[in-house]
Amino acid sequence: MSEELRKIAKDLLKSEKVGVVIGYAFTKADPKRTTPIFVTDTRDTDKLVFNPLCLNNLTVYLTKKKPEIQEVGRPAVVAKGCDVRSILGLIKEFQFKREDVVIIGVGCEGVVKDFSHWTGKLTRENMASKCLYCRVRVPTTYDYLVGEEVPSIEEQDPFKDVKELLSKSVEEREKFWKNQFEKCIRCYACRQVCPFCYCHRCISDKTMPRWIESSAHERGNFAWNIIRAMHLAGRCVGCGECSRVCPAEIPLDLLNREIEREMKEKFEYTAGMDTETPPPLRTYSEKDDDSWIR
Amino acid sequence: MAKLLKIESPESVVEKLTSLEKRVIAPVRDGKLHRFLPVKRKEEVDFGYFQAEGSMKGFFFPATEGILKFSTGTKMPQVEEHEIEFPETFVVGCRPCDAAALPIQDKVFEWDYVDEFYKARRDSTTIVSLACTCADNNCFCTSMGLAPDSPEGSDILMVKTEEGFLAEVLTKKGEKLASLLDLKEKGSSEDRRRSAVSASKLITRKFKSEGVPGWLESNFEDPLWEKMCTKCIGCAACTFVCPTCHCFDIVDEPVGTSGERRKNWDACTLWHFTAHASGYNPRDMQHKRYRQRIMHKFDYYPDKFGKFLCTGCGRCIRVCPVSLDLAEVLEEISSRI
Ligand code: SF4
Ligand code: SF4
Ligand code: SF4
Ligand code: SF4
Ligand code: SF4
Repeated sequence: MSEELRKIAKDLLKSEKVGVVIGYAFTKADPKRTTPIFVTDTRDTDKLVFNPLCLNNLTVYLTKKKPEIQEVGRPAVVAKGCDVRSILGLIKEFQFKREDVVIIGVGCEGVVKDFSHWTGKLTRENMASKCLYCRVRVPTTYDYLVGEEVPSIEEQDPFKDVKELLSKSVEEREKFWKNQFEKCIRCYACRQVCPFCYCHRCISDKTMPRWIESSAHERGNFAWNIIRAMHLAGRCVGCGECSRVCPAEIPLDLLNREIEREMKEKFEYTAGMDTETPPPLRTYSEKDDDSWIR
Repeated sequence: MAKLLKIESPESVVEKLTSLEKRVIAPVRDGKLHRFLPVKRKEEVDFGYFQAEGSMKGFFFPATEGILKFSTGTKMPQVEEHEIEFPETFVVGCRPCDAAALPIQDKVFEWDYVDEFYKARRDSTTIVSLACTCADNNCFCTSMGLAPDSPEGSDILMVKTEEGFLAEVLTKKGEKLASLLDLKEKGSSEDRRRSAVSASKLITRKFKSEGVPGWLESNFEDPLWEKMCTKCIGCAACTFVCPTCHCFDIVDEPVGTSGERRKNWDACTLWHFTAHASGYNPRDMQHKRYRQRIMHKFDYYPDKFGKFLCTGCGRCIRVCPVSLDLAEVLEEISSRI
């Protein structure tokens, strides 16, 4: 699979169809850990790999957070099905056009929860939870596809843990989140790793006036974590990067997925599945429920 | 030469101190990760840990801390000093690389201006570290002039040996604690020597660090920075988990007409760290922000204080969302010297 990938990358660079290939490579120190790599020289294409250790959603590098990468030329990006969903979402949000990026889609059997869980083999136990209910193991959109044969998997209910939490009382849930948010150190890794947090100036960085207290205390952390989730309503594609990178191991995806569940229930909408369906929070419809306006 | 005494186990230290109702901070398992937390009983503690996810710096330099209170409701703004209690505290079982970070931080917080909050906490805390018996690929303490059993920053260093546990009593605070714990029996220095040999074998990642500051001084514009560090996404995870990073920001947070002035962690890897009010940012690209992290740690700080601003604990490497490996950057520099 990696071989095929390298060949595509080499051809793309050689023919100058792209200026840079954004992909994965193993780190120097650890053969069980991958890292993003920007290949601009055909000789470096040999470093490219794809395997269950390719955790990052590389599409964050396509956003305006990283102008220096696009300056090199049109990018090609190695993207799993879930990552392609964020590309479609970004196109829908007018961040770039479909033709501005070459998608090297990869068929994906799943990725590990995090590098430390890798035992040499992917199992249901060490697999990232998003992969247990993934419906895009073969990406929906691509320019090139590597590895179209992907073993099928018994699908789990995507909202299982969300519903479990929802079945608890308001007090219990409040306590749960209080304990979780108490650990937040406001490092903003969750924001920085997210392809949809591309605002030049995040509301949490604004000081005149200050909307969100920047201190890592109860009020500040509640405000930050809830607003982060709300700003991703109908946009989050569930790539799970925020949860993966949180140094405090706060299950941030639980919040996102509850919003995803409501979007599905109330608006029959799932983010990142195409570039056409109008996003509900940006669309007016006479059929919208207005019973709550009193 | 430090005094060597026999000690039953790290747990016994927690048991004794908690029975005396002392404030004890120790590694506690919290889900998948370990955190340093105040503990009341020895059963809460897990010394079989590798390394705690966050360092213990937060106990001396908290992520957020009130420094004064204010109110603007009356005609004249009122300011009130912040009363903070600094109870006697014992940190038990931190790793030597975390203990070693304290004297490094002291130099900053007790340099020209003495940070009284930090100092009061340091003065009232005794550090009982525990030498490592395991390490991973990201540990590089020996390249930073330390070791899995180095005594820097500890008042007592506990070492697991073939015959049991030894306590190396290093300071006055350590001696006070040793007598509180009623440690009397002498330990064997031969036993300690053997443990030091096996400790030195734990670390496999090694590079020459002496020439790094010199290289940094003359290669500020090297293409290395862009090549190796463009992938950085500009969070503060590495700096916030780092036991030696110490930048902070001061903010006023009112609720209505009164509030608190707070000192919060800040990080040079965040874009607004150097953003000017005009909108201009001298570190306009992420690789320049990451370069600052390396420059400060391995050139500016050593230039001023004669040591690296890093203990080689490897936390920043483990936590990085994009696997930017600080040691790899240093190794690359080292290979060019
Ligand atoms: S969610 Fe699907 S496409 Fe994404 S990593 Fe898991 S299996 Fe692969
Ligand atoms: S990554 Fe985790 S600790 Fe960091 S700001 Fe986000 S929620 Fe808080
Ligand atoms: S820079 Fe990294 S390795 Fe060095 S002390 Fe900080 S976290 Fe540890
Ligand atoms: S490396 Fe950066 S965050 Fe850490 S102390 Fe230095 S300037 Fe501050
Ligand atoms: S090096 Fe890694 S952890 Fe540090 S700011 Fe960059 S992306 Fe975040």
